[in-house]
Amino acid sequence: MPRIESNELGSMMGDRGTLDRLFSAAYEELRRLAATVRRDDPGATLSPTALVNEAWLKLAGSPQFASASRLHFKRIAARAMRQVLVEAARRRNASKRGPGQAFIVTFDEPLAEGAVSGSNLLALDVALDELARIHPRQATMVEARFFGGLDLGETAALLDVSEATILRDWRAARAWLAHELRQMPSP
Amino acid sequence: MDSNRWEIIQTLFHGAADLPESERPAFLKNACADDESLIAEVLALLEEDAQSHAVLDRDLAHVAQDVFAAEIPPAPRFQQIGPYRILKVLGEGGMGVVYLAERGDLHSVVAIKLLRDAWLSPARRERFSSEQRTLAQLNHPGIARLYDAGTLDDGTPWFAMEYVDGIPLADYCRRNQSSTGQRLQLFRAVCEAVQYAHQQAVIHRDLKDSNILVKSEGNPRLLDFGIAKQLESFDTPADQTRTGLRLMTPAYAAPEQIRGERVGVQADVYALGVILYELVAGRLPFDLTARTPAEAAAIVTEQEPVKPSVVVRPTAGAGARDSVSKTEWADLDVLCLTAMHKDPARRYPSVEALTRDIDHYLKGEPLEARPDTLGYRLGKFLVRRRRPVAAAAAAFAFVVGLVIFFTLRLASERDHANRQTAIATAVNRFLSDDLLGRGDPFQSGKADESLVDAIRQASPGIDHKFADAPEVAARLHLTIARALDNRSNFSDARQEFERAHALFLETGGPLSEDAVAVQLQRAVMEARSFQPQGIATAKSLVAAQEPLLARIPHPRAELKVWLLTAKGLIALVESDAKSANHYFEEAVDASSRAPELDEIARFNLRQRLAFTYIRLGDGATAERLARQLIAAYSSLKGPDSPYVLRVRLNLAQAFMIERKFPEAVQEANEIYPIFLSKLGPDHELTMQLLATRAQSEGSLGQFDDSVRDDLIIYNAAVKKQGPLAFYSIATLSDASVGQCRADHFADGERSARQAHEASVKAFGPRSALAEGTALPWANCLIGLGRLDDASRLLEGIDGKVVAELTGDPDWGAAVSLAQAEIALRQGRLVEARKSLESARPAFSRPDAEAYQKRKLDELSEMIYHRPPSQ
Repeated sequence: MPRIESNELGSMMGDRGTLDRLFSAAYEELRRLAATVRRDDPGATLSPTALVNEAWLKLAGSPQFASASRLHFKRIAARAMRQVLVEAARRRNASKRGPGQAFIVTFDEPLAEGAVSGSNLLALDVALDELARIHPRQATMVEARFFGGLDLGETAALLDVSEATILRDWRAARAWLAHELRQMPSP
Repeated sequence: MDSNRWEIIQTLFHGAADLPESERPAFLKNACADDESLIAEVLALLEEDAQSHAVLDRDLAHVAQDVFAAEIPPAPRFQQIGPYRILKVLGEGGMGVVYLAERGDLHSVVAIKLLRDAWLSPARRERFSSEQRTLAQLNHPGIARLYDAGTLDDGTPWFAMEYVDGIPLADYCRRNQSSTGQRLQLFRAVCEAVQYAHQQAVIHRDLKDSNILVKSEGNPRLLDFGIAKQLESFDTPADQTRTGLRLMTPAYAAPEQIRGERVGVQADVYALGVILYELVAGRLPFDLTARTPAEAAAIVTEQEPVKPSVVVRPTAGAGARDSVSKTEWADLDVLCLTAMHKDPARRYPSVEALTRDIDHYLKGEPLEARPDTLGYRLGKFLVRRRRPVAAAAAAFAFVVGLVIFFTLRLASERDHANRQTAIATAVNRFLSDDLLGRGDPFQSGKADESLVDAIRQASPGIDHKFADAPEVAARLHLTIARALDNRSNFSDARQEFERAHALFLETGGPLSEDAVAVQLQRAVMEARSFQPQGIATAKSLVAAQEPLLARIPHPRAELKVWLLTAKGLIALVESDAKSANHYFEEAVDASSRAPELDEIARFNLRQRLAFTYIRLGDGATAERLARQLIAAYSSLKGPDSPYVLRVRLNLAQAFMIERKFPEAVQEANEIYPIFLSKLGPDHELTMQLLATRAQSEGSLGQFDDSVRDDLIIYNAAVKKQGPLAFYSIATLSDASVGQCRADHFADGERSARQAHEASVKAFGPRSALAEGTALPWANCLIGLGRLDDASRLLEGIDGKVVAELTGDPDWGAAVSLAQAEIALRQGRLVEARKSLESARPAFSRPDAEAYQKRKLDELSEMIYHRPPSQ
């Protein structure tokens, strides 16, 4: 499993500093997104789309992104979101299992739901890698839609296929991923 | 599964999915022949297709929430961070969590900010500690203070700051139904805090209503410097020179922030404009709640806000709260819309200017700003300023016109670039030599100050006016930078240097000699600024430029001079007087081959060389060089010229080093009034002069005089550079020496402790300054009878470090003397004798400081004539 430091993104951008800022931005946006759910904030205007837009604005000044199109950037950002989330889930799981837990606290609530979703996310990550092997375009599509919040039109433009194709691909890939996840042992 | 099989399965899946459920088995059986496993696989997919999925159908927000949910405890009882007990979560954001916590032993409540997931990236860690440093640097009643900082066992950093139990500014005004006057008073207090931050070279960049809390007693506090920018940090990564923009609350973001451009103090002015608008109009200038990011960005960057007076008129709500006249509404419109102007160059140039206009409004005076409809032109600018400024601006406009004329005319010529440079140099000379009074602080009367002010205000327009001639623009910025630098206006100078550098890079590429020269000159400024970040910035500038310089085939001699000067100053501030001396000797030598250098630069070099001898403790050589310079420049520039006066300061310092204290005091007394009238009490050189006089007075045993002088300097230094600046700390420590020697131990101890703590905070516990402030504190503690505390302090002192910093070779002996006194008073006679004897050679010399000499004699008498049984 690729670590956050060395991955496809790195080769996309080549610059540790930029990568670092990209992950920071992705992380902070995800945090804020999570916080709106926790506050049960119906007026929250945050959406993955907005997040990626914002990350773009933050990073658009970096030389590495200067030449990237907005769409290309969104794809990169989607990948960053995925990796940050997966890495966070991995750390959560690890810290629940053994020592090394940083911050000893008394919890009033069980962690069940978060734990389940965290594991599922890791499973999804594995399944997506498998999908990338057998059908790279579908894997990119899932990543762009699910983690990057690209809309139908943008996803179609990114992958240079029709919107109808995207809809068909999504339906099939979604069913396939769901099936894979069901069969996978909890990591 | 392989790709081919997946294609087959998909085809079958889609074919079957389009059919009613009852027809699917037959379809599949037919299509798959009898491949049962294939049928099973497609059926499994169809089954998944029919039901929802826990992860895949969840939106990203909920997935993120699930992943991150674990670590925010809903009721964190019995939880401890450092000495603080956590009470509850106050809030959470992208960076971390903020807790309300209580320190049991002190019965105080604080807000603790904790960085979450530091593993994620070094940039986050850096941002977090940058906020902490920023807060440490800011000490103002209108800004929530930093109290404490630390790390958890796993390395997670946290800091504790003042907990502000208040409500957001606009809410506060609504609840109290504050009048417009009261609102403006509150707003003015906010401006003061922001202005203070700007003076400390910090741009907040995220000013908004919710970051300004008003406590019940009615005083507003600024919070959240999480994305503040340190003007000092220079080669910052892109996300720090650009705003960490929060697009979903873009209501307070300036258009240039939205566009991701370079952000300066004007962005804070804009945000203040929005806050003011909200306060007077009762609502935000733009309603962005239901907008997409792109729409919001377009509105903020393009749409003009409705005048507050128009907002209030139909509802009569806010307007009815008190009687605001029609003219007053017109002024409020101008105030808000000037601060909020889309073009940063047309906003109030500083928070101070905004505050001035607020004051004008409150006093019923005419505003300095004018409605934008008249346009921003230099002509307009001339009308409303006093005459000297008007003349200056006119002169500037004339120069600008001249340059444009020549630039246009020369555009067609072949050696365009060369000529342009020649013209630019001529303009540069004209500006710096004629208009700006040689950039010399001594020639700056009040009128001249406003001249610099005028040109500084014109500065944002330079780029626009010289869009076709970036090199000319660069030289203008450089000239202004140097004039500001010479007036010790570092933060403004810094911006001008940055601008000049960017433009030179644009025109000349990375190996542009001019760009390198700008950076090195800036390094010189940073190094001499005596601000905590200054040296680090200077070093990084030098480190970045030196390799570039090496790659330039035949660099101008000027570049070498600047490089050596910067290195020399860095060495000076780092107490490496020997290297500094070496660098300046070389620089003076190189300057003879650098025709580009102006008179001020040459003079500065020789004067600094003399100063290195003062730092080396070689008063005699310093005195000789100073006298040479005085002689040379007296005949050249006249005996009262600024050059001569400045070296006379060095002469006084040399006298002091030579322990010719009466001469030092006399020299200082003669020139002090001139410094005071020409430079004002807050000027760096005035402070240096006072410091010299104070130390000489102290050495003569005139402690009340020395304390008076030291406290004048201290207050000026704090006002100017903040309590954590080198100068402020050193002077406070000096004051404490005088206080304790005059037996005012309680006052002295307070000053000494404050100085020491500040030095640790600003420069670290092992810094020379921390050690230098430890001894005076220890001496005051001895005076108060707190011998153990004093002893502990002295243990950490390395006499050599401080001796180099202060140029006082007897520092180590002074420590021994203090240790002798402690040992004596604790009855440890053997140690007392040992310490006393190690101090004796230094203080029994005929030229030793009188106070220490007397102390040595007193201690000798007590130690050697004391009955051994005691």
